[in-house]
Amino acid sequence: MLAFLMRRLLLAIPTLFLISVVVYALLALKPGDPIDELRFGNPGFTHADYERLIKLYGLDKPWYIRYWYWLSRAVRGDFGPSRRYGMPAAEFVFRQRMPNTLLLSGLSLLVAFAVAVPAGVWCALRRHSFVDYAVTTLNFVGISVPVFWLGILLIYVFSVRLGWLPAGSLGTPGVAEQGLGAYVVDRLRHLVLPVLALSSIQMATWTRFMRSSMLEVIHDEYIRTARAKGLPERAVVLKHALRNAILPIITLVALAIPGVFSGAVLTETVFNWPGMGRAIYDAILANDFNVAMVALMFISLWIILCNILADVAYALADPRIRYD
Amino acid sequence: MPWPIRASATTRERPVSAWGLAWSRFRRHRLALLGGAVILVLALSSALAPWISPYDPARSNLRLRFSAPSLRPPEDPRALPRCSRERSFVGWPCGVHPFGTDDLGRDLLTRVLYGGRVSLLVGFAAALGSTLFGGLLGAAVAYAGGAVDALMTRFTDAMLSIPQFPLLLILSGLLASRELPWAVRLSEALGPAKSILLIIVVITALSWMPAFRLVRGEILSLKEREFALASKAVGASAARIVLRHLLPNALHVLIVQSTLMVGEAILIESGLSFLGLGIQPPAVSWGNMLSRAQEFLYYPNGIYLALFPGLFIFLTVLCFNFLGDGLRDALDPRLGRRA
Amino acid sequence: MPSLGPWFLRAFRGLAFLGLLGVWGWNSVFGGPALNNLVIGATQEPDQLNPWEGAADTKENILALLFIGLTYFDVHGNLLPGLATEVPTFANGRLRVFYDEQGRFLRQEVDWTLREDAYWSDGTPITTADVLFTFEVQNHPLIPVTFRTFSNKIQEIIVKDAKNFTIVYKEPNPFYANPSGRIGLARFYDIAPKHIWEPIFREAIREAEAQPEKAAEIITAKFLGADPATGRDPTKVVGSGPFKFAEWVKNQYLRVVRRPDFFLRPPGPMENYVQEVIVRFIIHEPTLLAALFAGELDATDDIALSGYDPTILAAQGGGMFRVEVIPSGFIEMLNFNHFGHPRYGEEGCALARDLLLHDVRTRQAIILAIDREALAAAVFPGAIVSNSFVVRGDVGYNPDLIQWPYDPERARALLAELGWKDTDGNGILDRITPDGRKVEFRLPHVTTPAPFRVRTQELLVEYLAEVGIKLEPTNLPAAVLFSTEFINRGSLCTWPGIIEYAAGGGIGEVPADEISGELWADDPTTPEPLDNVPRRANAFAGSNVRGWVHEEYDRLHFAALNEFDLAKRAEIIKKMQVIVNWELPFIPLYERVEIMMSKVGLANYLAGAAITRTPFWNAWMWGWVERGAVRVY
Repeated sequence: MLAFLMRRLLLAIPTLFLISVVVYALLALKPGDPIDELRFGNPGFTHADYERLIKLYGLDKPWYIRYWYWLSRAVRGDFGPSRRYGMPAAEFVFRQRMPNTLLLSGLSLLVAFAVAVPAGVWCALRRHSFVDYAVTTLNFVGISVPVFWLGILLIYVFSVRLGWLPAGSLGTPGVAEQGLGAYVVDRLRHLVLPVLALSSIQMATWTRFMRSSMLEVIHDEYIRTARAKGLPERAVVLKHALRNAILPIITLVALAIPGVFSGAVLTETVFNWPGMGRAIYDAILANDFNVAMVALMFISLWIILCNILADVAYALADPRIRYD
Repeated sequence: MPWPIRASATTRERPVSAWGLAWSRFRRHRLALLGGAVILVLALSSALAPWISPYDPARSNLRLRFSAPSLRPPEDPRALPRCSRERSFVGWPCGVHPFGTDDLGRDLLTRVLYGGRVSLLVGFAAALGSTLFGGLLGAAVAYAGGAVDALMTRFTDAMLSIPQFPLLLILSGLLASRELPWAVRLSEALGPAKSILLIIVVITALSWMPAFRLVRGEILSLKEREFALASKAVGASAARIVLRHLLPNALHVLIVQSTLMVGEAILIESGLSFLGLGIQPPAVSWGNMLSRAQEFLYYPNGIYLALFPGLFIFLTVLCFNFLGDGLRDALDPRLGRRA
Repeated sequence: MPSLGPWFLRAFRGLAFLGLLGVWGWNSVFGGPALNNLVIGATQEPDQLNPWEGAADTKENILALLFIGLTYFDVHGNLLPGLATEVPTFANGRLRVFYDEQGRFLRQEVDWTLREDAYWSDGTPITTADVLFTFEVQNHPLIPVTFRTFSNKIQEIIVKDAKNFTIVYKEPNPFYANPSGRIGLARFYDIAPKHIWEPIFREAIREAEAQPEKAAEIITAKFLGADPATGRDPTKVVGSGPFKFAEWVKNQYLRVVRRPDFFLRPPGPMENYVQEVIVRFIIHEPTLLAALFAGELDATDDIALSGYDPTILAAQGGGMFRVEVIPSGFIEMLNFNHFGHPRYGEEGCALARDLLLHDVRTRQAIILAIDREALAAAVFPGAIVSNSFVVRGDVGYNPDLIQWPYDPERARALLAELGWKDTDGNGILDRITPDGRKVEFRLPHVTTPAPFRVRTQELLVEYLAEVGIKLEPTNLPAAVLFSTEFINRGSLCTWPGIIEYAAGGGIGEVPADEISGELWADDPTTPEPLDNVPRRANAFAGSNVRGWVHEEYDRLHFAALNEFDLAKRAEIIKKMQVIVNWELPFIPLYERVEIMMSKVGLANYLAGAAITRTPFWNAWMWGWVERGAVRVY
């Protein structure tokens, strides 16, 4: 097991390197450069200014030379400045955007999990009941709706027509001055709609998965034995069945964790949520390469780690699986 | 698993092919049948849009902007739209707008039908492309084995470890470039169809990996089976073994995979369109209709502009999910009924 | 399994209850008259508040809360003194222009006096030392300031004492008193605080000079990046304007508070006016609209609602909002590629030559083929059809111009006159070129993907099809379209047909507005020909991107630039419009309108007269009527 872990972790290094080359090359070959923003909207910007700035920023060099500069500094932890925000790119990504994304995506994941597990168990226990059919239908709806469309409709109904909840943003400006209670409630109210929109897909997938996993377990020998021993039904379901049925879900959750860091550009755009997804999108459009690179590399790292985690969890859950 | 197998028969001992068995399982899956039927209707009505709708999808009618869905022609005779034909063969009469009209007075149902052509094309083409590419690559790599296999697997891992949406953004920006000479030449050759092909290529380039993994895994396990070894023993060439024996056996996985991929591709296209990077006007797709509709949410009858394309995306993706589910149950009984 | 039901039901009930609590929880008011503050919605956010550089509009708005220039425009377009005691004119002796015996320009001197009661927001007096320092930064070679058109005209600044200084121009600058950079001190708001910026500036320059190979990065990090507003110490953000910086939560909002010591005052006690302004940044327009209709915003800025239908906004606002529709000072236009003109020979664009775009009759045929009234009403509600490069209401506007009504018959006749005929019956005109090739009238049209422009393209396709022209529309992001690689290379056929964009057309600023500056081709006083036409010969520099050349227009353009008398200048500009009106180097489509919404009880929040029509020009007068604010406008 340990050897397997070590090997996977070592293999992650060349994978990360490969990713950095691919992403950097794609970014550099994309049309447009960081000077565009300076030039745009400045009537006095001349061609000579352009040439001067291109040289000044080193953009006259080919992409692999620039990549080498980037890499040689990145390995020392220096990811360069964000030209757009005038601060270190890493600081912008990790201090300004990461917390917002962790809050929104993390909460969505928790909500999805908290709903999916009981809903899946419920449906498995009451198979072919009305609730089961309703939840199954809802699940299909959940994975078939364009998430931004759902977001727009949620805002349209709950913010504009009903006026119950705010239409996006982190919170009401200046609400912190009204006391801690008001602040917390205000933040929570702002979270309801985006979390609802964002968690819909995972909620649907996991409920489906939980239901079938529970169905498989409940017909296993040991559950029948437990029942035959005369244990109360609640104990059978909670202690024995649920514990075994939930393991495969844990793997799915592990694979969903990187999404918590990468954010969701569509949901974030609709709800004016300044998270990682939007940061990456804006950085790519504005040619703020350093920001895009540090964010993408960080997320790739998480994807790799969580994949390993999922494999390990899988192995621990199922003693029949062995890695050597 | 024997292949073909014999059904433990009823009255007559007749060999039933695996496909026949799958079909009989599929038929029992009512939702999947329904999904397939709806998709068929959608695809046919989109393909036959010029014969169904009496309107030109691009023809504006500035006197009849934002009209509500109605089965009656407008009261003001000056607002009557110009039609390309008086009555279409299964459609609706000239002058009637069953879904209402959009911001330039164009018939919304007509545009939804024409948009369906592009959206479904993107969905099918991207699904087919990624499955074919990923599947063939996976088969080749699995059969070749050794260093090629190791290298490609590593590359696939890397591709799967890059967050997909940013990569889609970068790639669609790259291919839309006017500075790369080959991109310019390509766009001149393609004309207005350029953005459609672009989206297909971009989605394909980023979604071949699951097919690759599935096929590779499937073939690695099949490779050790008797009949592959037997073919090898009688001296069949490598390509022949992969194409004639191994790939057909992995086909059922691929069918399910690509069915689900169609819906996925339609959703990705709508997401890219939402960010302004999808299908470009004057081409119409459900995604770009939806993204354009956001501006008019608060206009009288403007909500229909968002409602109808959104519903069609939803319905289509839903049906593909039903269909994919049914196909999985039918083709791969080992997985058991999941839904 | 009956015992399970209640357990799960309880859990579900609990969840549902929590949800309801969240939904109906506190719904208190955090803006408007109740707190005497003002929440403004904006769809764009500045990157930083460095007053020397950056993209324009939205930053200008924020800076207008924090800074004021030497002068400002009132709502009628009159120049009023801001930091200065009075606006220099010939009459008050503060403006002097010197000519030699032959009448050639020698120099221009402008005397300014700073107000005695002008203080920075941290209490430091504003002095001529700040003026000198600002000018030094503006002109420093290592600082990436890109707008130096007017500062380059300054020969020197003579300081008399702490409050008096004279600007000496080596080239005539009739806009010497015009805010937004035309004085030549800084791009946004004339004067920056020396005591804040000097240490930052000196340190950055010293480091950059020590490591010239990393100069740009150092300047980015240490100078642009050291912008106090993006730093963490709000006391460091110091301005001269009516409000003081409080906080900036990036991508969310920026908050400023009123300065009681600001020298310009609204009528009555200051407490009756808005004490705090919050600008909320909501990038996605539909979300901004939702927040507006949900009552979360008190007003919108001048950019957010551009292109929306004002009558529908008013109806949706349900009487809560006032909708202001004002001409924006920008004219949306179809620009032709004139590089098919024989003067460019092989250096020109062959496709434009085939389409005869350099022939005035082609351009007239196209304008006659478009129903501009119907188009404007459908794509930009509230917009007015234009026939000029100056907007209505400007002193230089000429009302007696050809109106070019919708007349497809005449358009067809003009095209036939040029030899266009549909010989193959495919609905597209064709003709045989002198070198014997058959060409079809396929006219490329490129613009940004803004929704109203996409709608314009869709309608133009239809209008031009009626006369046999096939319009081929494409879109490019603004950053690509306006890049010099693209727009300045019309001679290389990067855009061989039409390019659509909008440019500023006046309001108190003629003729230095963008359009008239784009139309001149040659400065007769310099030896090089076609100085302003970007071609290979001049490394694609210059702003006449269309390649249209007209000697009489150039002569008038330079006469107007050097004319200090506004009435005389207006007369020259009227003559220039007659030329452009007939020649149609571009087709003016319509004058755009700005749409701003504000809650009914908000006083003095209205569009200004400066070219961006920003409502941020008189922030010190904003107030709620129910809190005692007096409506001045």
